[in-house]
Amino acid sequence: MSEACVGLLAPGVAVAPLFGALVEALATHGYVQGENLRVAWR
Amino acid sequence: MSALAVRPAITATAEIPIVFVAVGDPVGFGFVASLERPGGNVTGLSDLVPEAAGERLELLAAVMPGLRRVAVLRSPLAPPVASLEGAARTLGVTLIPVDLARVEDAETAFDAVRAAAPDGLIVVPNPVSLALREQIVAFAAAERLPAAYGYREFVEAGGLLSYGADVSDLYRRAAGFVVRILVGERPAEMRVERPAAFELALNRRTAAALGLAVPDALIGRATIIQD
Repeated sequence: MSEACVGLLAPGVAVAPLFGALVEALATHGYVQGENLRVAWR
Repeated sequence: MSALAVRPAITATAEIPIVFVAVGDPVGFGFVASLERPGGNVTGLSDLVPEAAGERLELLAAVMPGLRRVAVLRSPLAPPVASLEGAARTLGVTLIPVDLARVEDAETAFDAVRAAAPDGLIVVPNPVSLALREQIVAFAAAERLPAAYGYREFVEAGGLLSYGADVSDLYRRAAGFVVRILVGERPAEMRVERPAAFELALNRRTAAALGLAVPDALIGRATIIQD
């Protein structure tokens, strides 16, 4: 599994839980934040 | 990312793949050439359900007979929605568009709604309105405005009713797009996907507070009932 970096953009912090759902779903595909996945968001 | 985030991202890069989530009309916004073949570095998940906008108005009219003037809180970037305009004509409802472009514009938009003196409110689903759901629901309650939303998160926050896509599901599915790109697929050839699940959520406590009787038929259709 290669390393990946994903940037997340949204106009409001209240959608953060939805980004959480995305990051959790990425983990089920083998991309785990802090291991082989870097996530940057604002 | 949403429509508001996609536009500057597209301007910034034609190379880095961009996956959008819950963009209403990606073709209308000019983000993709077509849903089948996006053609550029952008693809993702649309929450476009053209008939849902009209359905929201019909649901609002079902819980509030005699509805005549409805403010529509929407993104100024969003193209007109034929199903909403069609439902309004059928129901004899006048729609009053009110722009809400950014989170910081909430109070200005609320002032515009107050000035229009509507007897109902439709909140177009987008990430800005979603981010403001607590404030919008509180505003509707304070103004005693029956309101229809596009995401169940509004009903969980005390909003009257919602009809639309399961947005959490869209974000989970976006992970699949990201992974496909990471393993070598090209966004240009990745079909834009649409919602797989639709929800009708009702908040009976809010209906009671507004003095509205929710028809049994509507309760029977609801996928989520909040008491």
